[in-house]
Amino acid sequence: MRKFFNQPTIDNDKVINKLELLFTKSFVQVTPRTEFVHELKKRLTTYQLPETRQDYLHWSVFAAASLISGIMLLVMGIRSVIMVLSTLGIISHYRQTLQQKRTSELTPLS
Amino acid sequence: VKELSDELVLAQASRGDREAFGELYQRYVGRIYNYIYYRTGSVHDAEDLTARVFFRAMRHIPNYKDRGLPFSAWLYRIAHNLVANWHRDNNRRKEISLDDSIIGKHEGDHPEQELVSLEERENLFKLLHSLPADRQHLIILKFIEQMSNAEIGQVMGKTEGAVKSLYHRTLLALRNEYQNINHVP
Repeated sequence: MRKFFNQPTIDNDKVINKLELLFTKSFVQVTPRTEFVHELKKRLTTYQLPETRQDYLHWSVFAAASLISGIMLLVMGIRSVIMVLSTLGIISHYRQTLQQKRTSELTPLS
Repeated sequence: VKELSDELVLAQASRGDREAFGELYQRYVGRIYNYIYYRTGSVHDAEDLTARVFFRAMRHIPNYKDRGLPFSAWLYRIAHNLVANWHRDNNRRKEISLDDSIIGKHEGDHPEQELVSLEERENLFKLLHSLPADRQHLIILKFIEQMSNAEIGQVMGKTEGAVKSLYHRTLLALRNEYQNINHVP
């Protein structure tokens, strides 16, 4: 029987045409409720987007970069202070040595 | 925004412009609702899934890449996936109450439908829901959205020839089923 239906006969073509006609007549565009359309638009425009994984990743990279930069700045600051202090120490030591030298030169030999 | 082309509105929406997204929503909500309505057979589920489609679209629109396909193709793809999940998760296909849904609902609104008997329409919707998802998609786009094979191809990601062939095979399958249901000799 199935084999018979699969053969391209005039009757089978008629059935297909009838099906197409039935689909055309039965399937009509439906309109969504106006309240639903307005309500959904309102919800969409006021909805706060949750942070996506990508946003979280961006935030994490930014935070890590900020932390590393902060630590580097702090280390550089500390090193600068140490350098200034050590330079001052060297200068002060040099002055002291120079003063001692002068004092010893001025002091008469006993 | 209302006068701009889809591409321009889409570009604005993908930069986070809510007004632009609202315009895209206005342009496509009817089509997406229709598609889901005919796939689920219920107003309540069609509204719920339509809302989900647009919320998902809004979340992912910044990542939207224009591949030369119409924007509707992207929305239909989201709708198609959500309807597939809906059927799979809840196994509701069997629960669709045809009396409560499409069959009798629009009789008053659309007098032309009255020409088709209630029984015939009921059988037709049973036939539609018995089809695999991609074939239901094709029939809905063809008869409800009245798209050409080329347009359906763009939406479904197939060539025009492939759509034509799938449509023919679908009609042959439907014919056999229709003959069985209506006891056509």
